[in-house]
Amino acid sequence: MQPEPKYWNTVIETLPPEKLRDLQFMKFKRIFYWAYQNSPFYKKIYKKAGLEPGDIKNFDDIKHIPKIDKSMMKETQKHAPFPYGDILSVPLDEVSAFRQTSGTTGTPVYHADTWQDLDWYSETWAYVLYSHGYRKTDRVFIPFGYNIFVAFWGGHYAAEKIGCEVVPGGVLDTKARILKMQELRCTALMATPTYVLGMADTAKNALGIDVSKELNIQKITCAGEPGASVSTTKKRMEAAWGAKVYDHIGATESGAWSYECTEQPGGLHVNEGFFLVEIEDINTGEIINEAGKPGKMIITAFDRTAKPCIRFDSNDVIKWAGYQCDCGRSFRLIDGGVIGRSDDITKVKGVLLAPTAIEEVVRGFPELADEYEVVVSKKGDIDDISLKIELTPGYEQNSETIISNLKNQLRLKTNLGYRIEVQPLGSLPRYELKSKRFKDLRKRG
Amino acid sequence: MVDDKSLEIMAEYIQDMRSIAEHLKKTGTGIVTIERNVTRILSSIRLLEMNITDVAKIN
Repeated sequence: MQPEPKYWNTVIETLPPEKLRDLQFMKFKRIFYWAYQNSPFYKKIYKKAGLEPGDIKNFDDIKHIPKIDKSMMKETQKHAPFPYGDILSVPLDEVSAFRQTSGTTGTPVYHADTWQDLDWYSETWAYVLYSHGYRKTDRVFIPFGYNIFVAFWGGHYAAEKIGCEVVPGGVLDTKARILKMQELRCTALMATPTYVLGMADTAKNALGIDVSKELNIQKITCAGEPGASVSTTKKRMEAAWGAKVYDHIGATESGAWSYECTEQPGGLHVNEGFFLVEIEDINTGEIINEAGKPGKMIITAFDRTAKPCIRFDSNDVIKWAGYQCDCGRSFRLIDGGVIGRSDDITKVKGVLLAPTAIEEVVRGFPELADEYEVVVSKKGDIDDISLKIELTPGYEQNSETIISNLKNQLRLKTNLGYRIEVQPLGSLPRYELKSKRFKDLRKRG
Repeated sequence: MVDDKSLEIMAEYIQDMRSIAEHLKKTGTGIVTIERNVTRILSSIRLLEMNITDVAKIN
């Protein structure tokens, strides 16, 4: 019997770095040429910069190609063809699916995909799921209605492609989803970190089910939030479910570009066969190649054709890892997933604060329940941070000690002082998809 | 690792599949089921090109 292949595509995933770079250069030139020829939006940008496809002569020329961002994608939607705008690079009648971003930062961005692009989207997800250990024997539960959001469509079709049996749990409520997973002995689950914790909580409190013992989930793929790369949140999820939790990173605009492997070295591999990821210094705009220095991610999807994604400024802050992975993939690693969004990393009392740093601390306290909320506001001219928490049942008598320890840990991790407010258990908002736990009221003009 | 010769052979097969699919589509013009199903087949072939042929090209 043949041993089970370790990689989804051994050809690309183990390609020596210098060959990977050649592959990326060839593919970048190809998508640039495609966009220049077929997208009025891109052609206008490149012509304004005095660029033509023949101008990309070596890899370093790529960093001189103009970036695009979300606001430009929204602006182009005002132009024909409706509703995508002139970024569209195929005839409208070749578009087979409408998707959009969640719109958490304002007007959503609309996405056009052809069959080819949807196949490509699923393929990028197949790299993700295979690296998380999904195999033909898995029965996968997806507890969402995928609706107009692309991510879990990609996950669904990728799992099918790998050969898994997929159970779409969209129309069920949380309790019914837990019971269905139990009934079908599902082995894998895809969800946001918030909902992974929320389902375990509902199972315990509403159904009296300990999902780590009474369900058969062995691996969980997280999406949509950074939690699966926040070590304390990951530990919390793994303890609640008795399962391995894996992170991946993707976006509607770009596709699923990064994934953890089963070695879990503390970082995620960038799928460099399908994407070019550049990290840009937030202050100087220089491209960062050294490990450990955070910057904004600029991403190019090499093979997405209806709505190309070329040097898209994602606003996600990431950093290259300074360590290797033993899995054998030659793809570079980013350390610790997405650190935050550049517009969420904010100065409070003159100190840079990333919301994930607060999450790391809060989720490290077993005395605290899963939900919390951070509100930054102004008290006169002074910044104020309030942290609302809920206590795990049984710890109510120790609240003063817990608050004192929490304040100390937060100060150590973030160099800031917090006002802690204990809320009744279950009173803070619960989320299924993307949570909004960090609120900066100073930005409201 | 896959050796260069095997990669080249796989790339040739993929090219043959594309060629056959395109011939079928041309021959079947006007038969909607052929046109649409071959379009989907070509999407899958394109994925093989991304995964295999592109790598063969840089060798």
